Amino acid sequence: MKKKMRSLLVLALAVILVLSLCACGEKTQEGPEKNDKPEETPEMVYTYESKTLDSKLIKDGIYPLVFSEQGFYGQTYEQVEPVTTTADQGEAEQEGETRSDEEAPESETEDVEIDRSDNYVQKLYFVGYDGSVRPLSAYTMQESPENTDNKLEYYSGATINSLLIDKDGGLIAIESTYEGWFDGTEAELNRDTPDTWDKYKSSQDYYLCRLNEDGSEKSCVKLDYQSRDSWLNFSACQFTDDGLLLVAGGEGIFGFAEDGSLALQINSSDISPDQLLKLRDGSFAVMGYTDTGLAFFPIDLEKKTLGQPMEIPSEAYEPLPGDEKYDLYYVNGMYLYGYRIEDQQKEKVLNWLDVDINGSNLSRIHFLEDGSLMCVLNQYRSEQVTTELVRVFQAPYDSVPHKETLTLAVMYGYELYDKVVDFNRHSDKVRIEIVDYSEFNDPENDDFDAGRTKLLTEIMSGQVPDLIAVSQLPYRQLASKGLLEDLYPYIDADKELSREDYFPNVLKALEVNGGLYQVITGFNVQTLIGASSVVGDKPGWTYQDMKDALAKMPAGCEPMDMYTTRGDLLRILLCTDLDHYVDWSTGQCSFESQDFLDLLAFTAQFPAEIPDDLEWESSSTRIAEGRQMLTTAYLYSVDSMLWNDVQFGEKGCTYIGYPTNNGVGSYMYLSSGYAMSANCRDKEAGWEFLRSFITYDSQKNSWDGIPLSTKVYQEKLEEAMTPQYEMNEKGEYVLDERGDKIPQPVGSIWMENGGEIEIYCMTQEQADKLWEAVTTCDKVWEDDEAIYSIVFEQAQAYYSGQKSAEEVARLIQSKVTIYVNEQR
Amino acid sequence: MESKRLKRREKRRDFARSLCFLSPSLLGVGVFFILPFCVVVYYSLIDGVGSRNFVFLDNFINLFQNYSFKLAAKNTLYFSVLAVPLAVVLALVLALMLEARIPLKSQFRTFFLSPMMVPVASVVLIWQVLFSNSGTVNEFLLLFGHDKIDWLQSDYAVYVVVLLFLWKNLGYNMILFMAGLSNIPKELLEVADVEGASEWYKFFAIKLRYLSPTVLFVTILSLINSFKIFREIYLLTDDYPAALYMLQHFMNNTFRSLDYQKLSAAAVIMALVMVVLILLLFAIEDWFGKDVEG
Repeated sequence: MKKKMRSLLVLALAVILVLSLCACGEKTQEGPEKNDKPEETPEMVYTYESKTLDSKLIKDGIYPLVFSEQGFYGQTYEQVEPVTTTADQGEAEQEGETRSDEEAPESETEDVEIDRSDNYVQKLYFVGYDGSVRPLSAYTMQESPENTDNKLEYYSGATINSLLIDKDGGLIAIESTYEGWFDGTEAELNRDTPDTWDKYKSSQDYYLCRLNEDGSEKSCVKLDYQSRDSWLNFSACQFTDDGLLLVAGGEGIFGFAEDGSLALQINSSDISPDQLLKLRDGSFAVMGYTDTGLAFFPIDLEKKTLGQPMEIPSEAYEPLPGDEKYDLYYVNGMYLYGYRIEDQQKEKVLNWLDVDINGSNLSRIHFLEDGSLMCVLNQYRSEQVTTELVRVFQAPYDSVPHKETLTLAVMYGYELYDKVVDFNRHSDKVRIEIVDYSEFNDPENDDFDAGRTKLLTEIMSGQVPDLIAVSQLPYRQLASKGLLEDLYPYIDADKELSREDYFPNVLKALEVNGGLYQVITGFNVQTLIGASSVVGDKPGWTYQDMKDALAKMPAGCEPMDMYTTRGDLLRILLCTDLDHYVDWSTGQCSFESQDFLDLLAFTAQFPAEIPDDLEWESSSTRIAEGRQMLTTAYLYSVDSMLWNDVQFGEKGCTYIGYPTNNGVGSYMYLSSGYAMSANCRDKEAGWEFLRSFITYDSQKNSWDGIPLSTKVYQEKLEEAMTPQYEMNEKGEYVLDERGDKIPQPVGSIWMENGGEIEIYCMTQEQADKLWEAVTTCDKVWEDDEAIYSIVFEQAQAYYSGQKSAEEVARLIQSKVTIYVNEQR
Repeated sequence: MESKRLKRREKRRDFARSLCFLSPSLLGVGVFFILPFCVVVYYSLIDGVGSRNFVFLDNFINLFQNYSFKLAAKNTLYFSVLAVPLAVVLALVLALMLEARIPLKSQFRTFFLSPMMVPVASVVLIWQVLFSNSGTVNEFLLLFGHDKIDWLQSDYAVYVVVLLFLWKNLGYNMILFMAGLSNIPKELLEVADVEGASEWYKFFAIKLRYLSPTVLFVTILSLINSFKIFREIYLLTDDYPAALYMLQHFMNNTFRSLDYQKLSAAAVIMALVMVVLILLLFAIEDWFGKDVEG
């Protein structure tokens, strides 16, 4: 018996000791949800149905103001056509036209074309949930006040603040008129002292207007609210059961009766009241601020007081009414959250991407009586706006078609949402789920690398996401380890795409061991430009060439702009010339060469840091005065060259590049890159998604730098080279005295030493220069950060005079040689 | 017959009970040491975590042809060959001196033991103050008309680190030897004295023989500590200290650049070398101390 007890005790002890080995881990930081195959399928899932509004009727998007069960009333801003009117010079100047004395009309009154193309008007529409659109064509807004007293600096206007539906279903518009002026003399205005600002006055009046179905006015009363510095937030006002209109503003809560009179006022300027919300029990609360953050304050209408604050999350600044499950809902980023005030718990109710909605395009959402969610989206794509109505609702799991899921790992992937949503809507078999690893970062502790580290750890442990945004990852190492899929075979097999469609130098720069492992949408090029008369006509030069050119400049002339530090320059020169110092195939380095010593000596003449009190001078001024020889050129679009060239004016310029020992010293920044895992679950679908970044249509609509597609590049170049001519309101060309068309500038730039300089379309010479600058660039900025760190750290001893250039070069040689051979 | 069976059963029960007690430790060692080592060996035999193709010894062959690995191995071997014997011999000498009842013995012992208490960061700071390019030692050199020496970036760096290593570890080794010396039977030494043996003879024939297990232990400990010197070197220099570039630098850097195959192969080679070395040491100790009682 004793032995048995002893055995049992021994066994129990052993079990306890074993259990103590199990890690009682800390609660890990909340990160993005992953759609790993659930062990249990949910009973209900969210799904959606959508309708796109006719773009002929709603051209520039519509913002919903108030919802009903059949649809919503919303407003648009529509551009007014340019008109010709009779006006004098004074009015023309007031409208913003700038004319020189030569262009001034001969008489004070003359027909002057005033371009009102920057003017927009508000229009109202009713949009049914079935997609029907009905303009409230009879609607007219309040008249703007007029400057009857000839006040100085006068401006005025009128606007719709909100639309409401009362308990009888009647439509109400809350409008306001406003005016502002300078309440002083002209002499006081010209003095421009701090006291001057106190003399600027403004006022605002609000109107409650009942409208018919066609928008015509039934009745209109002015609200008894004296214009003050604070404003009223009618976008979140409420009707009480007895018809009182409750609204919050900067000073408190106000209640207006049907006749516009002020029936209720609760002062509460200390909490900065903003929005009103109707709570689940039918009472009202106002959103305001406490010392700790955002809160709701219950309103007691009888006692005219506010209750104790109920804290809500700081991101819930546009709350929606709650239901039996939550006190309120709100949207934050890509999620719809529900919040319970009592236990201060917020929960993610819905990820917009799960129902193929890009949350960034959401204008407003509204809960319908059946519990579904009506979402209004305005999507902006290449100068067009598409408005869509999406109804989100819950349906049984088995009734919804399920597709295979591919994960796409990103860091801050908001630029991808539209693409992913488009893909998911059009694909029958596969859907892409974004996993945003930036959510693992810990901003409170300044840790912005946690997400990247987690992603890398998962990749290296074999849990590679199907698709990856590789911009912040060591893309070349991942590719060389066989973790990424070579995309060249897919491009070669694609009927629409071909390698020849893209800049070969860029593809080459992206290659790893002859394979292409990421797609990008575009790239930027950085180089140096100088006057052709100084640096020559042909791009590319060495340090000696640069020294020779500098010797010809006036005494005291600096080679580059005043903000160039030695660290910046060292980084750039290493980037553009690294192949001269490092032979990756053999692992040999040549940092002890004279060329590198020259590079060190050259960079040493630049400052370590820019003083805070350095007075800014533009490069164009310094170049014009002969105090600066070169300036940095950023080629971020096809026409960006125009803004670079203008700095040299008639002299002309050459995109000479940074001094280098081979080729042209320029480098490229790549746009975001996307890759596919070598173990992607559906490589055909993965390629289908990746190719969408480099198709002709995608490249044409992308604004991510110079396009990768040479065809799109040529089209944009042709556009940039197409001259613009002045036209009249009838669409006819305006001719000068000789009968020639008058060229119009495509833009202008302000130069300190030359005033405003107009920029015209690109010439063939500029186009050729751009082509050469882009096609000769084969270095990528992101590479070889480790080598730069070694060189920069060791170079400090040389810059401070502690060591000679030879000693530093010897150290760099040994360190970089070790690094290079580690990578082989 | 019956009693034999009973004895065997009792033995099995005893063994089972022992296993129960040992199981937590065995589990811990298995999960946190043996299993990861097996994973490392597996990684050293494949071409990558993506494709996982078995490449047999290709990773090892590439490693032996790699300049950085060869440099790291050479530096590590040189340092260990220099520092470990010095650490053993000097510690033994110090222990013998303390045993000989020198004056200020207590202070002498405290002096050599105190570096053990100093945190690594403080040690590194002191060494930087002494041996940096504008450090105290160079100031002395300048005083005597000598040029500055970049101690930590030149070929002298290894000697600076050996000095650091000895300064840090002599004290503990000395204590171990003192404990070993105190276990030598005094009767043997007295008999040797009576028979007119010289001090050298007594040392080599008696003391050293009895100290052979201690010498083995101190050697192994010093060898292990010689690898740990990476910590001080890393803090004194950077990721690529040419003259002090050790195997752990190589492994640290390859880990950071995600080259797990190179890293694993280097780790396996290092482990094999350590095993061979230690087996060799055990064999030498067995042969040398075979006459020693117990």
